[in-house]
Amino acid sequence: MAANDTPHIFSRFDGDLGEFRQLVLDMGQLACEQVLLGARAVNNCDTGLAQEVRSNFRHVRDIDMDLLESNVRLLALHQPVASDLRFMMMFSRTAYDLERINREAMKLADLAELHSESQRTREYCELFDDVMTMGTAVSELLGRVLNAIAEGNIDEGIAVINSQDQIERISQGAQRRLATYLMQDPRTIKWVIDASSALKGLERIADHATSIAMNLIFACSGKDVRHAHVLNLNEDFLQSPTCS
Amino acid sequence: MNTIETAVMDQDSTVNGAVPETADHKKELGTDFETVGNVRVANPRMATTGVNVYYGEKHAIKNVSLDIGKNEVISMIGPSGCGKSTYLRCLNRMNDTIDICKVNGEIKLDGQDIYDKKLDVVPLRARVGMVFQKPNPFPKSIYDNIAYGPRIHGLAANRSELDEIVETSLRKAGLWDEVKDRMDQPGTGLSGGQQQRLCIARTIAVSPEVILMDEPCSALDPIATAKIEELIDELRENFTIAIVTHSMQQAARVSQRTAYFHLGNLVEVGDTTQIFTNPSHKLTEDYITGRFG
Repeated sequence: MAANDTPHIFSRFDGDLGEFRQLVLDMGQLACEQVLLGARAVNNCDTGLAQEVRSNFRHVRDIDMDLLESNVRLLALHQPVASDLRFMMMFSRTAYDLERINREAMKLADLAELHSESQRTREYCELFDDVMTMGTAVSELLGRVLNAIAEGNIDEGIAVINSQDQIERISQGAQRRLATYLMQDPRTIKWVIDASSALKGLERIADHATSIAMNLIFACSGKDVRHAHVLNLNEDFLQSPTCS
Repeated sequence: MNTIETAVMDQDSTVNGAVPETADHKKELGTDFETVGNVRVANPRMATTGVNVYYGEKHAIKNVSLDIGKNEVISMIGPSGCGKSTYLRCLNRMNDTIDICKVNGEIKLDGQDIYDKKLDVVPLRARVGMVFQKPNPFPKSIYDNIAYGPRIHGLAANRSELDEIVETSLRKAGLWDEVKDRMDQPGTGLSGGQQQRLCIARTIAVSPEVILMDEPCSALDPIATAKIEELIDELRENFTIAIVTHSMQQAARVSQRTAYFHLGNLVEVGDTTQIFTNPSHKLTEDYITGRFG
């Protein structure tokens, strides 16, 4: 069962819920940009981009604070139940994931500034090509799940969860290449560690995107799939009476 | 129609301008509609099967089957005029007092058909007691309000036993400490919340098996309501309770199972948590989320 589109008798509830939803989507759009900007900043050692991430970080944080206030007000005044409650929980948990994503993007920006100060030379820049590749993939994944939330599209949510394999493959490939660089030239160790750290951060962002997708499935179906095996996520599972 | 019939029809008809939002909400489901969820429980205290109620030509309850389990609180929710109170009144044959009301189907209490012609309704109404929306203490003292039922049913052999019944009932209703020093004062002198607890004490004084509550808190302030809800939770240990309520939050707080009625049909019944977090039928979802009613 998707979000209830029938208008509420008390129109202010629809208004308040709509505002809450929009705040989350705005935060999501910013978080998506942050991921891409952060990855590009690290890849290009670009302090300008890093500054932009820093500026957006504050903006995302401000939206997060507005969201908490809106969430509390909605729960206290309207006491939602059923699908309204599940969707509110979804948006609330999504906001938490987006805030974490924002922090990971900030770490990428910090890394870019550090490398700029350390004057990372050209020969080491290719170590960070995979950061850009993975950053693009993760940003796209995040964009997909946020669109799925906006549309209440449970199928796309399941597809995002199943895309986790692709991100893992990119990450594993990148880590193998870094290991190769290190074996060839141990002097690269500082940059390899930093690149690995950036990749790990992007993996965590992908995990948050998966978490958002699981929240969407809960909102639409009432099923908690956080501990279900990914291969079992299909129509039959979602329509079964129990989550096993 | 006499005054009672008119009052009952008015109570059960759509009031307060509550207009369904969409065509689906206005559509009747028919007598062959199958209730969503499990209407049956193991070892029920009361079991109803195929219950139909008519007020003259008006078909008020349509083929409702529902079990009420032992020591459970089941709440009945639904928009005005959906038949919740009519169904509740079937469970202790209060509808017998309405000339134009016809009930058919099977209603059993501990396996015994309560509409059996040989059954005496007076003891039935002691076994299946009722608490009404508006507190209605007798114009008697607090003591006599409670003692009246046990006296006429011969439940006490002497004054000492009667005193014990009165005290126990008032303690169970959470009222003893507030009234023990003024038992000879009129029951009508109590506050609204106290009067309702007095009515509950009066009901439990005759050792019922089932207590029916028809919007017991709708005339009470929030504090009194909270005390009644707390009391319902305590009474569940010893009694089976069926409660009709307009407050979704109250139904969610006090009951283990919830039944949703719509235009005379029982649409859905299930675990209260499930009904209020993930209802199966769209009508239930729309009603509890406030899309119509």
